[in-house]
This record gives sequence, structure tokens and C-alpha cells, in this order.
Amino acid sequence: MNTLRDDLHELAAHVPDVDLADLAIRGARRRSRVVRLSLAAAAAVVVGIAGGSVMLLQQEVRRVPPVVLTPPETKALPLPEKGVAPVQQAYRPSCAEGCKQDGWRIVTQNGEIYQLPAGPGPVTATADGRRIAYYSVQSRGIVVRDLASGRIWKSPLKQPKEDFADEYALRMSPNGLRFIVSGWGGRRQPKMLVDVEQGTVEELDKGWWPVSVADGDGPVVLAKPYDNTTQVWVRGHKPVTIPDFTYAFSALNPDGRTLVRVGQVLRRTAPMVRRDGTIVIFDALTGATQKRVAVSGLPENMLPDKLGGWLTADEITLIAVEQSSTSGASEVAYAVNVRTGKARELFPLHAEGKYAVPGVVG
Amino acid sequence: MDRFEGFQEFVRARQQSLMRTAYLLTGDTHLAEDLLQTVLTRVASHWPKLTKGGNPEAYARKALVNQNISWRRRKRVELPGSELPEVGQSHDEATVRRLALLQALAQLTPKQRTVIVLRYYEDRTEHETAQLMGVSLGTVKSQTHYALSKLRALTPQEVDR
Repeated sequence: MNTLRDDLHELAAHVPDVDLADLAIRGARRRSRVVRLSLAAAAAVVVGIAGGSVMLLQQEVRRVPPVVLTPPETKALPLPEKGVAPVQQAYRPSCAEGCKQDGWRIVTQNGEIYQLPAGPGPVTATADGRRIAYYSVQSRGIVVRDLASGRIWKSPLKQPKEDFADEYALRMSPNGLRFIVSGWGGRRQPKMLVDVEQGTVEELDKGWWPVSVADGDGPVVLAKPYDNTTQVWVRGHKPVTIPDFTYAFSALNPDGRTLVRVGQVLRRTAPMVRRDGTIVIFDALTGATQKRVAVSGLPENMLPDKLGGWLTADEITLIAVEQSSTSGASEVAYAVNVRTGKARELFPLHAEGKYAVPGVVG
Repeated sequence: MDRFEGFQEFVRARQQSLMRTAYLLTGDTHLAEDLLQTVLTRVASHWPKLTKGGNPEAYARKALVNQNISWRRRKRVELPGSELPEVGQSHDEATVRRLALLQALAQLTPKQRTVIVLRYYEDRTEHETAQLMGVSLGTVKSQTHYALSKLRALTPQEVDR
């Protein structure tokens, strides 16, 4: 074990010198400026509504000097109460270099951009983009909202915002009225199945990662990756084991058993998993592989990375990522036919910060 | 009074040590710098509170560990690895062994890698490791066992000597 200790020290000793004090202080100042700006903007909204004036909001925002090195920003209006088109993608701009509006935004299929009233934590949308779910500090729980009608369902599960301090996942059923909310790393680590229509909450088994949930009393799919294999469990059946470490699954097909995962290989020369440009259709009840299909129609430098909900009987959402980049890579959403592998481009994803694409598992 | 008073001194004294841990946790100098900068920005944001009875270094180390586990859960597939040099070139046995170790570390799950770094690089006790990672003692024991088994399979000369 001394060799391990010595080699770890030897590896660490070759790390280049850094000087991050000033950068960290600048980052902290920007963070606090963003918080102050948000408070100022919120106060202006209240005054603006009371006085019937939108100008006051604009004046209040302009009063703060622009942050140096801030990338050009798109102004986002608050989400209207109703009459909003289905969402194409949601994104949360990275504020590492400072930004004027923090928090999640949605881009609708009409190209409109709205600021969400979401607090910390996840934002997601049903595969058809018509309903969104997000954490509301005010409601102390997940809220499901129908964008067209403005109808809101509040989760019967009350959660402190600390549930979303570290890592979390939120999976909505196709109609959005059932969801799984999970958290890792925090004190409570919730794993809950919630039905906002029935008003029920069910605790799920610990250690399982949510893949998808169907409407009503339909199947719930969970996964548990190990070093080189992953267990997939359609609740109500026995878990099956697939020969890959992966989180990259599609939602369960409405047939109740077909699942798709992103194909990958373990490189011989280096112990790394690499996407291999294929998708693998398998039976989630038996674990048997039905077909491995090469995805076509992607640019040469892009590989499938994540999958999502079923758009038609044969098509699922696929997120492709640029092959060479390790961070900040460009990502594009496609619809891929799981039988033929043919992909058609849907839209590029917002380049900065976090994003959420309706129905995508990830 | 400057609310960051003492922060620069703290960073200058501790950043190299934190950077080394960040590098072993991530396996990549650029990622390590990103990780450390994110963590130090958070430390700076809480600096006034941390200097009034908090422990800035303990906070920074805990944030480093947890932020990295959170990043790595999502980044496992994309993390780059170092290429092994061709055998017979001017690299000695120790260099090849260390590169193999880097590659083997990249094969571990985020928690397994973290326990190896905390137990065998920082020489933390199991109890301290559990506290830093926010997990139970049993989890530290089991993750250490799995991690060493995997390292033994991938690079036996590190663990069996």
C-alpha cells in the first residue's frame, strides 16, 4: 500500500502552481451582485405591478453597471400565467462570469424565452413540452404547470430547498401528473414517487436511479449502475442486468418492456468508456438485447450521449454531443428512429450552463 | 472593513495543497483548476461567516469532495485519460506505473476514487473520510474495499507491493 501512497504523492507533486485568490474574490463579488440585482429586480416588479408601470423595472435593472466579460444576454420576460406554447428546452445560464437574470428559463417551440419562477433545483417538462415541473420555494415542493391553460398542481410532498442543494433528478410521466423526485449527497436523499392527481406519495427503494415513470399506475423504471454492469428494474418484475455501466437510457416504450440505451465500448488502451455511435434496443423485462443500431444523420464529430421519451412508436429524443470536447461541448437534440437509426435534427441546445430537454433522461 | 480580509492569505497558503487533492480527484489539471475555483468562489462568498468561528479549510475540503462527486456522476464517460507511453522508450518503470495508476483511478466510481484519495493521499481516518464525504462509516469501508479490489485488478503493482 506504500506504493499507492507514494505514487499518489508523486502524481500530485507535478500539479502546476495556481493563483486563484483574486479570481475567487471576483467570482464571489459577481455572485453577490447577482443576488442584489435579483432582489432589486424583484422589488421593482412589485412596484411595477402596483403602479402599472413596466418602465420602472427597466430603469431599476439599468441602474446596475454592466459586468465586465459578461457574454451577451437574452432578456427573458416572466412566464405568463397561461397561453404559453409547448417548451422546446429549458436552460439555466451559467453565472460564473456574472449575469443579469439568474434562474431557469424556458424556450418555447415558438422561440419565446421566459424566466421561470423556479427556485433552486430541477426543472423538467413532459416529452410533448406541454407541462413543466419545477421546485417552488413558496409551495415548498414540486409544482406541475400546464403552460397553455395555466393550471397548477402542487405536490403533496413538502420538501425543503436543501433537498436540491447537491444533485437531484426529476422525471415526469408523459401527462406530467406523476413524477419521481430523487436527491443525492444531501442529508435527506429523497426517492419519492408522487402522483399530483391522486395526491399520493410513495417512497422508492434506496440506491436506485430514476429512469422513467408512466402515467396513472403504469410502470416505473429504475436503474442501479455497478462498475461494469447496470441493473434495470421495471417495478413489479425482477431486475435484469445489462453488461454496461450506464445512465444513458430512454424512457420505457408504451409497450411496457422496450428500453433503449446508448451504445458504448471500453477502450483497450485506456480504461475509459466511450460512446460508440450506436443505440441498443433491449427488453427491460428479460435484459435480452434485441438490436444494436448505428445512428446515422449526425455530423461526423458528434456522438449520441443521452436519450429521452418516445415521440412516435419508433422515434425517441436523442442528445448528441461533440466528440472532442470535455466540457462546454456543443450539444444538439435529434429525433432518432430506433429501428433504422436514422436521426433528424430538432434543435441545438443552449450552450451555457445547465439545460433540460422535455422527456430526456439525464 | 473589507469583507474578504484574510481570504487571500488563506488561499495563498492552502491553494496548492487543495489543488493537489483536486487533481487526484479529477485526474485532469484543467478540471482540477475549474473545480478549485468553483469551491474557492463559494468559500469567498461565505468568508465573513467562516472567519467568525467556522473552519475555512474544512469547509473548502468538504466542498471540493462533494462538488467533484456531483460533477463526476455526470462526467464519468467524458473524462479524458492519460495515454500510456510506449514500453521501451525513455520512461522508467515508476513513470509507467503512475500513468497506469491515473488510468486505473479513472475507472473508479466517483465515491471510490474519493475514498482512495482521502484515505491514501490525505491519510484520513475512515471516520474523517466519512465526515468529509457525508456518508456512513460502512459506506467508506465498502467503497474502499471495492476501490482497492478494482485497483488490484487494473494495476496490481500499486496495491500488492
